[in-house]
Amino acid sequence: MHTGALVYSVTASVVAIAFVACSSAPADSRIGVVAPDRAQFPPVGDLLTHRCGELDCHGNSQRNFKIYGCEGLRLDPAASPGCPSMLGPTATPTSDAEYDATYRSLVGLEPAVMSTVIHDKGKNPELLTFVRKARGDESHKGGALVVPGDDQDKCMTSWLAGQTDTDACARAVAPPTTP
Amino acid sequence: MKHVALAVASIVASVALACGDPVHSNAVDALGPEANGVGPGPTHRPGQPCLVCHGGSGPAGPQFSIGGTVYLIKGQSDPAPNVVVKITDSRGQTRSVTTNKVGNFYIPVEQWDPSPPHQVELHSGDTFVNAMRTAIGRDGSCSSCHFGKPAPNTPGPVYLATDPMDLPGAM
Repeated sequence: MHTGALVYSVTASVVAIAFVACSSAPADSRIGVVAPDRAQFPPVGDLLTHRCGELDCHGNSQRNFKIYGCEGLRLDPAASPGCPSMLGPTATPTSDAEYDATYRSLVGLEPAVMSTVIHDKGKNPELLTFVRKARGDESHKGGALVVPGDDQDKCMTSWLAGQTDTDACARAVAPPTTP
Repeated sequence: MKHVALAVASIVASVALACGDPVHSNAVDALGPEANGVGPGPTHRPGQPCLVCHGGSGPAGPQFSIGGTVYLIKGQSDPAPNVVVKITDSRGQTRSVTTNKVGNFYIPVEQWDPSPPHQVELHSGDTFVNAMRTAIGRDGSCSSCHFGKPAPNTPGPVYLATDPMDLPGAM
């Protein structure tokens, strides 16, 4: 091969390799997630803060699954735990930003598994660790808090299935539900 | 022979240090020393998280299942003695314990090992009741959550009443 052609060939190869290397996924790319409906989340968020969001449980910023709401950890630095239903109108109700933070924390726990569950219209909610832990099917410091088919379970799983059972959610947070 | 003994002692000491829990040690250290004139006992360290030391990992005993301090009025530091703290666990079992002169109360785990979540009521006099509106999920130390001034991660200390006029016997 002519020397000039060889140099040209090598240069072209290097450029091609560099192009391929640089055309891979950008370092800041994100995987997608098939997420449950954010708009239908607030009743589920109310259940989670009521049942799981105590300050000594998931109402703690150091937990993987963080739950925000007026019954526990607050997002607004000016707010403190306590709902209007407990402390009167001066207390701050759960804000939309708090629902959003809890939603993001929950969906972000297992985005790939969540995608599978939502893609299948919530047919197998037990694939999600938070469901298994709530039901006590997996080691959980807080124990079994939910019985499959009870109002709490219906509230969570109906949301995962695409249509939140708001009646079940309302019954689940109506006192007395704990213990 | 001395060298062997020294080497063995060093190894034992290293193992002991390696097996320690630095998080627990730091939590204990963060509590600081005893207050002047108040030695270890039922009235020491009011307002501190009892189970840091009395939780089974030492350094103090006995091990408690629940412990805390009750103050008289929200935002004030006067203790609330003779308050009956009624605790109900998830099995429906109930125990009551009375606060001492500094507002402290505790239940040794050998007397009762409740199953969380718990609900708590404070009783004073014949009729006054102040119930905690949320459940205790796992931590038997009241002041793990109830500390300092109200903030996003704490409602502040446990108190009997919001207003002095709400107390039993108030005119």
